Amino acid sequence: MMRWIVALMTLALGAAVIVTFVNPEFTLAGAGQDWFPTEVGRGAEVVDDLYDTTNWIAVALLVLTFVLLSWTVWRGAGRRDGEGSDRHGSGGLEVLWTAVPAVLIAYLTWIQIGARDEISAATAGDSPLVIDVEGAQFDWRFRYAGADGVLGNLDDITEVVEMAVPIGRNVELRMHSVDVIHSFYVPDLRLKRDVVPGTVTPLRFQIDPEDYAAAGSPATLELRCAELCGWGHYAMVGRLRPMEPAAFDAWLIARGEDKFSNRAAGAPEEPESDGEFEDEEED
Amino acid sequence: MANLTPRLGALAFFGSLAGCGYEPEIPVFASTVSADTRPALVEAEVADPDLAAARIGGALGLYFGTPSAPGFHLTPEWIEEERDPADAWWELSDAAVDAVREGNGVRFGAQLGAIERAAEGAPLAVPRPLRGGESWARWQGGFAALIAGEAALTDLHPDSPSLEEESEDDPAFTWGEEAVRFWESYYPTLTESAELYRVRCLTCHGSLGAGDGPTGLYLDPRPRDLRDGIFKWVDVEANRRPRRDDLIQVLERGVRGSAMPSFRRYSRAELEGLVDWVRYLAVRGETEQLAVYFAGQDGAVDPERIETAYKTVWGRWDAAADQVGAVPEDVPRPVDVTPAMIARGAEQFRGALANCASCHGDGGEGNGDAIWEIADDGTRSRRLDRWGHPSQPRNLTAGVFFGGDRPRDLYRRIKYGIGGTIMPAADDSLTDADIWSLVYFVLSLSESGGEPR
Ligand code: HEC
Ligand code: HEC
Ligand SMILES: [Cu+2]
Repeated sequence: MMRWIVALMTLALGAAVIVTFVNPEFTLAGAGQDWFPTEVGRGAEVVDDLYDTTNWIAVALLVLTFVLLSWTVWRGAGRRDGEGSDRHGSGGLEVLWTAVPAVLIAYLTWIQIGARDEISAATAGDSPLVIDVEGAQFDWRFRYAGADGVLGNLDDITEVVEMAVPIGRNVELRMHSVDVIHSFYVPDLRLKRDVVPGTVTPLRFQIDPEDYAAAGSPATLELRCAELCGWGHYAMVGRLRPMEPAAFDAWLIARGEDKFSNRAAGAPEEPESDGEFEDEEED
Repeated sequence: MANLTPRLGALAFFGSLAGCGYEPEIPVFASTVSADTRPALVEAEVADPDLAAARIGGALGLYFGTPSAPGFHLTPEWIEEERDPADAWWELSDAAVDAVREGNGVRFGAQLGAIERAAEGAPLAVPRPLRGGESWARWQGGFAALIAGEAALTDLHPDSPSLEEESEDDPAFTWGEEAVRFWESYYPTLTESAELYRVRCLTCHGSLGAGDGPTGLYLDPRPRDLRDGIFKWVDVEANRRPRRDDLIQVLERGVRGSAMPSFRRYSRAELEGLVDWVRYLAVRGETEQLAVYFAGQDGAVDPERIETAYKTVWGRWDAAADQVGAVPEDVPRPVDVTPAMIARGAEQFRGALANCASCHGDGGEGNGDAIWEIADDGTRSRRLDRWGHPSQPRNLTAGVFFGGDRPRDLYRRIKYGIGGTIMPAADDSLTDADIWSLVYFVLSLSESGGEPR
């Protein structure tokens, strides 16, 4: 009986692993990366590689653990005399199970440092567009430098929920929180960083024009809060709106014009010329 | 003793299960008489307050239905004009209609995409959209023939004039065109909007909009009491009824500094629907208040007076468009702002005429004395706002402006005052230049010169 349970357990495990990692729907390493949206950020593929490596190591360890466990139970279940062996410590085993994880962790650290450098190198260079990001229960708010290019003064442009960003230009976020810890998470860009009250956290990225086009030029990219921040956490949803650089510049200028106009909410942007109408009356 | 342990274990286990059954109090979405109504009737010395409250409740039921079957009573004039506020699509401005269509194009991208692909020969497989169950039912009903494959996208729609009869004003249209139009011109019914309100707003604003939802009780400032029709962060003059666009603006940007979040993630159609619902709650609440007032005058509830109350309230809302607080055209830009202008603003701020400092304090920190009312015996009590909550003038050095930080927003706050609060409209003798200098002085208090805040 016991042996059958063990056999079934192992089978179920194998099936789960296969379904998760071999089925093309779910394959991370494979071509159709359906677990994640297609990445559109410069250097974001490094994150995917890192994820895959970590994942395969974890899968290998999982399988190894279960095989050992099943083997132990299978062997033990076969013994009817009920006596376990009386063993106290094993120097060799201890060295082994300390050394293997140590090597693994060292390796993971190593590749993560490499990945971090690679990502920063991908967005290094030309001076970035700086956007101030404010996390608050339960809204994302953004602040752009206005016409004078200086953040934090009278002609700043403020936005809520939707962050317009130019494609192919470096963007540097300066993130801060007014209340609790939030986390700025854009899956399409493989970006996730905590936004901590009392400090300003920088975060750089760039939407890669080619990757973006390859992903079908989605109109918006989802932005989520990835740190449980209170009862409205689920609703702390925003979006990035990628724009061609020229369109972005025009948008920023238009927002500036609007900021210093006198039009009421909902009023047409251009004062409506009623010239046409008058002409008709004259006729 | 020996078998006590497993029993204790079982007890602990089931006990923990019972603990897991914690269910927060779910607010009832009901439509009843407001909690304030009966006390108000008593205070107004109405002969039989219970009867009066019951009659007012009955009238409200007749005029507004219930949250599951809401609607508006139609006055004879409206029936003649074919107006029904429950069907607000026809009241939208052209710009709003465009925004609704654009938003629907995004929200129903999957549905419209499926129709487009079907037009290119693929089988028609329109997915059910997120939210909006009624529209899905309408789609399945109205387009059953198309879905079943009995009609093709290129066939003429049964309601279309035939190709011989079509004219410029009345062009022929196909099933495909009608299907696209269906999704593009989606507009929520009052019931759908009530449902969205229940899910997203009820916890703060409460089922009648009294601002007494279970979460609302713990917030500061408290959620708006929507039954009043008085709003703070709108473009109309203080204490006037807002236009649709004012409420859309509030819903889109939220109220920074308060718990009121932005709902910009919803499509414009859904936001317009929420505006419908806010207006529904406001008109209902105002009618109720006016009915109580009339009952106090007449000594009993008079059906004719309720009709009058209903019409009076609608009159206020219909007048909204003419009550936008004007802002002069030449808004000063930061480059036009001189130190002299800021100095003038500072002087006004502390001067006797504008006297902002009396509430906001000399430094603008919101610590002025005028929020206290001093009784004859010398006891001090906090001045309350319209809704009975203690007044707290804004700390202007924090740079958090609930009603928006554009110069025109602050101009409106200062020139026209803030509805429902103790912040008054500016003295008439202040010129536009004075007010602009106040605006820029206020803004300068929180300028951080490049540092994030
Ligand atoms: C987390 C609580 C919360 C939720 C959820 C919430 N509100 Fe509010 N709302 C508030 C608070 C608090 C205020 C008052 C802000 C103030 O006084 O400055 C407010 C104010 C308002 C106002 C008045 C703004 C003005 O100009 O005076 C409207 C209208 C409004 N809410 C509508 C809604 C609608 C519609 C929803 C749902 C879609 C909603 N609210 C959801 C908390 C909430
Ligand atoms: C009688 C007291 C009082 C006086 C006088 C007063 N205020 Fe206020 N003010 C308030 C209160 C209370 C609030 C907060 C309203 C709220 O959020 O409910 C406020 C809010 C404000 C705000 C914030 C608006 C926003 O969008 O958040 C500004 C700006 C402001 N006042 C400027 C002024 C200026 C300028 C003057 C002088 C012309 C002035 N106030 C005079 C009481 C006063
Ligand atoms: Cu959050």
